[in-house]
Amino acid sequence: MKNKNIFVFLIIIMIMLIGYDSNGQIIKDTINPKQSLIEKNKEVIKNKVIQARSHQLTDIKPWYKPNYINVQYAGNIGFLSFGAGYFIFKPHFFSVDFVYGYAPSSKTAVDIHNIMLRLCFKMPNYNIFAFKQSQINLSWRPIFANIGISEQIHNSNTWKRLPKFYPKGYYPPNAFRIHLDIGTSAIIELNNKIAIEPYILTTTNDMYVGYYYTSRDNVHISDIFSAAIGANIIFYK
Amino acid sequence: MKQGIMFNFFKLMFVVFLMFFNFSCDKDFEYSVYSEFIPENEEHTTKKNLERISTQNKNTFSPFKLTLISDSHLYYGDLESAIKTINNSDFVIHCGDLTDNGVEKEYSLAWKILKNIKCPYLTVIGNHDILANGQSIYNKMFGDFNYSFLYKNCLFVFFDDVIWGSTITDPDFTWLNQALDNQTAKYKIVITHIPYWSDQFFLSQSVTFKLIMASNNVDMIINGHHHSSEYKQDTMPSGKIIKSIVVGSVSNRSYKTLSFSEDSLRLETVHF
Repeated sequence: MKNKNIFVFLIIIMIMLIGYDSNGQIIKDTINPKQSLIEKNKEVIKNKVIQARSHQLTDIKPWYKPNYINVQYAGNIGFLSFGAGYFIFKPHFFSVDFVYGYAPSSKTAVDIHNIMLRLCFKMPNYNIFAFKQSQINLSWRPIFANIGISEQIHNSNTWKRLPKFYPKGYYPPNAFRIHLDIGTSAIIELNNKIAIEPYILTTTNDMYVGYYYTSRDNVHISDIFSAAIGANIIFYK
Repeated sequence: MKQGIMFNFFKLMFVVFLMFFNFSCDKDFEYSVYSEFIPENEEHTTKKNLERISTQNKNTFSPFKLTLISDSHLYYGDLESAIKTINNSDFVIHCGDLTDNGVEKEYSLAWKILKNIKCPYLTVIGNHDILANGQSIYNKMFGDFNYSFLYKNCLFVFFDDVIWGSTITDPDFTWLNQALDNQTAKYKIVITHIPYWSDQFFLSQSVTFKLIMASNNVDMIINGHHHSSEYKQDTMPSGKIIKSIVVGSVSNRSYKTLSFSEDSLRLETVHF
């Protein structure tokens, strides 16, 4: 718990510092409250357009090439998980991830393999920093949310279909879990081809929500959430 | 210095999210719901409780009382209420199904409630406890599936008779027969999760179990599994009577006490 506190407070300090460049000046992409409403809207639209324009580029690619790849630490789908993401619909607020997660026995006392199909909702990102004289652009996605279904594979006593020796309906299938994540991310556009999106999220799943729902007096909200960190590498071209 | 309203709003949202993120997580990072990793202080619970019990006199009988609870599954509130009302018991026996899905989180939640019992407690593995990686977690958290001990000259035998989904196809009847081989014990009590007349048993297994009970003069079999309380009495061809009880789930807001006196066993139901 101590490590996490330090980690989170460091991030909070960083957030407090964001918004100012090295000279202590207000960053140029933030919205001035004195601006008229129309100007503010223009600013927001501009930011959205930057994102949308970037993503439009992703249409020119082979269908199998992912829009982004993902690596994540923890989050109940393994010690490390790796995924490929595809934007669906326009203006690219939704994506589908195909994820494989692995936890070695040194971390979970048993080798665990998971596969997951994840639907992601990504709130538009807002530009917060642009480095002068370079293409690097930093934007921030305040919230994203994922819902995913995972399957535990390669395990002796989890199943998709109930083994035949059980009477019908004796247990529900226990290899599947539904995961819910909510998180926030920064998007570092290195150039017009590639961006890195580091993120943190808090996650829970159907089983844990069930504990909270049935035993609210004994299961605290803190018992059902855990944390994860990860990064998406977005390909614009 | 001025900043945009939108920017400040989202910055505030982000900080609120981080606070939520920070204080809402029990564990920093969880790798899988199917993890078998348990904290060191939760390991070898049966051994620790047996050490507490073994300080008592083993070989001389004197009256005492036990509390029997069972099938707590996800009924954590009921389990906690039951534990608060337990008093004057030498030890508590949980007759299995401490969890619903056999995952570490459920074991841990049950363990944290059960540790508040003022006296030692002992458990037998249930059919829900072996789901997923439950068998392995139980082994680490509690210990052996089959074990026996002598308390005030009464023999208690805890026997794993879960068959469906288990790594065993047949309960270890040889071990059971050997464990019950004690001529001097005043009472012999066998604790299993699945009653021998339940659906998991083949007829041959049921008959073998009953023959072992009869030949070793077992005084009472204590079971869980069925969520309602039951009492069963079978008379063997030899004339010996086998007495069994099903404790019933704590979700019924009741548990049982078993009092051992010089001449009889007395079973009572306590509602809480």
